[in-house]
Amino acid sequence: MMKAGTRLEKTLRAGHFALTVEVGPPRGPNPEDVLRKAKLLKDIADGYNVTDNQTAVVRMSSIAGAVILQGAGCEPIMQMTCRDRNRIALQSDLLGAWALGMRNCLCISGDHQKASASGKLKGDPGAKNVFDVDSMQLISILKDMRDAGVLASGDPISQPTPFFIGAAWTPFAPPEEFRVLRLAKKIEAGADFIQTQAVFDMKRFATAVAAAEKMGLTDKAAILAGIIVPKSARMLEYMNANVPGVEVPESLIKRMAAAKDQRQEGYKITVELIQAAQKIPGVKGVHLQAIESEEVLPEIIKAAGLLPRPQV
Amino acid sequence: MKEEKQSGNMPRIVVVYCRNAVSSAAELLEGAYTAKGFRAYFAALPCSSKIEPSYPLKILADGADGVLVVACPEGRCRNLVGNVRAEKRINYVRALLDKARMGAERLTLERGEDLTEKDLLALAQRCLGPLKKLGPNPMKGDGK
Amino acid sequence: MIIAEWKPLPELVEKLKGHTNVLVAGCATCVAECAAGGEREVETLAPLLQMALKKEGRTITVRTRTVERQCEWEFVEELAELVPHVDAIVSIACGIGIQAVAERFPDLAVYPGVNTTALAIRQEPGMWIARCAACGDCVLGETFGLCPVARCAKSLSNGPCGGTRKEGKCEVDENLDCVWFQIYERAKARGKVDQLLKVRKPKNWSNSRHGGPKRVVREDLRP
Repeated sequence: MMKAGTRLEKTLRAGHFALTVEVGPPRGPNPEDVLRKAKLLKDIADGYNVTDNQTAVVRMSSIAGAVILQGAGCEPIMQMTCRDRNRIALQSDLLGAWALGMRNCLCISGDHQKASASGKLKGDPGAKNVFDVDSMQLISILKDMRDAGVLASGDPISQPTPFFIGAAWTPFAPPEEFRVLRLAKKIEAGADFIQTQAVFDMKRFATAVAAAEKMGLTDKAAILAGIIVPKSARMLEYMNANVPGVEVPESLIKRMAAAKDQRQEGYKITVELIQAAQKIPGVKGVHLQAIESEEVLPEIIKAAGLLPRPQV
Repeated sequence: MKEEKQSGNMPRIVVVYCRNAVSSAAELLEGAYTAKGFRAYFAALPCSSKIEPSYPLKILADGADGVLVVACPEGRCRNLVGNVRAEKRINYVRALLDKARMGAERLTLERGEDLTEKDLLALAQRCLGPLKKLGPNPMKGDGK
Repeated sequence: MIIAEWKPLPELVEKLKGHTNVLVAGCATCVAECAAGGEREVETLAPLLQMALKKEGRTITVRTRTVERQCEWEFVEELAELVPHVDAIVSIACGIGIQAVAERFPDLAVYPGVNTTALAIRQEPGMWIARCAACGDCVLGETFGLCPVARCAKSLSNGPCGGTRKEGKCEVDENLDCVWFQIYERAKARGKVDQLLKVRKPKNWSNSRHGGPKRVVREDLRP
């Protein structure tokens, strides 16, 4: 039974290996900045994630960015964090987003505002955070708005809001043995699709997915393996040391370091990771991220043999 | 404090020493001593750890130009870690002095054992250079 | 205890520039326990303020008094005898005490000498860690005695988030343990992990400050 009828949903239902990509909205109000990316990335994916003030850095809102993408022919996956809005604002924004045509929503906790003051940015570490509800509760809220036409308060809305509901999974963060159980919770709460934290060790990932499969989770929700395009050995080292849940095998770092053209090697590695993910039973797609360099995605996706995207 | 008027503008250094760091003769050192180019004032403690942050701060607020704390060498404290605690507290007060723009250098810590009166005065002498750079304590001459 | 930390000295100096006779008032309970506002700290701050203001060209007299608790009127009353001699009070009690003093002596300038920050425990000598967020909806019975509101940076009810670092530390502060990691470990040790599998519904925050400034009345204790 179709939940929201989005392109991503239809692609998965038809049994195709799905592909989503991530688009970061601009740190400014110019719609052209979004349209430029839309033009670059048109027709190369089944869904386009629009981040929600990622790392707590002020950017054009996810809803606005998503609406602009939609208008340019790229079906968006709106992201919603729990950091900045309470349940009233979240539900209000969901009603508005639905009214504007949004049908995919990824529910995540969100980075703490301390993260915004890194690198050259002053950010807003002094801002108050909200975290009225957590990602699990947000998933339930979307489910109830869709399947029962009811808000968190119990008050009804004038009509249900069908959304294809997404959640995140970080299979390797400690406590590792609890992560698949928490995934089960998210799916029980209503998650239809899952995008994982970046995976660089597909063998290890396969074990985690197998555990999920054993619990019957891979039939209930579609798991898309998260893949970040590596730019350099230093980037891989940085991620391995600093990004929770991301583990980069030493062999991969060595390989990158030894490469003549690290960028090209990065593309090769990405293609290999995509192909390895395709072989894991229970993995229904990949979620590709090229942080601040979305322009490299079309070439990589083509090289992975994933174009053209299937018609649904 | 009649002494102050008599000795004019000479810097005044209060030497707070741990009884265990000095020789038995020096253990009796108490009160004012006129030295070469400065006035010393000795005060004894049973252990350097008895130093509370308020103690050197009050001495300085009273008009002393510098406070020198003398403790036992590392690992030689009769009370095991008293001299370690003393150092932490002194560093804390030095930071406060900086924040108050009084100068961290007004409070120093020296270590030694079996020190004589001469040794203590020599240690106090070493404070004079940095204190000269800071200038006299602005708290001086407030009718004190 | 309620914990507080000294305000930066320049901030206090700025406030006291217009005054001549100051009282530094301490409290011997919570803030003494966290080495911010007890007698020791009063006796440390007083000479420091004097010197800092002297550096700004201002001569002030500083009186000191530490009372048992600044959140009790009978103890606040002990400051009354000093009030005629001063034109400002710097209170280094918690925000509750500072306000009690300000309320009892409304004609006097009362300045906070500290920032009140948390409800904490002294975990080790010289280290205080927040334990309670006064959320008014205590779930300690369901989280094996570990508070996810105060000790989780995102106050998650269904944690942990994906940010738990290696060794079970919090993504936001590597010096802090991820409390949800700890909750899981405790559940595992008791063989009660299944208790963590139910999706916990959104919290009701209305019994805390979020429901409006708190006011509690006990009829049985009213005169």
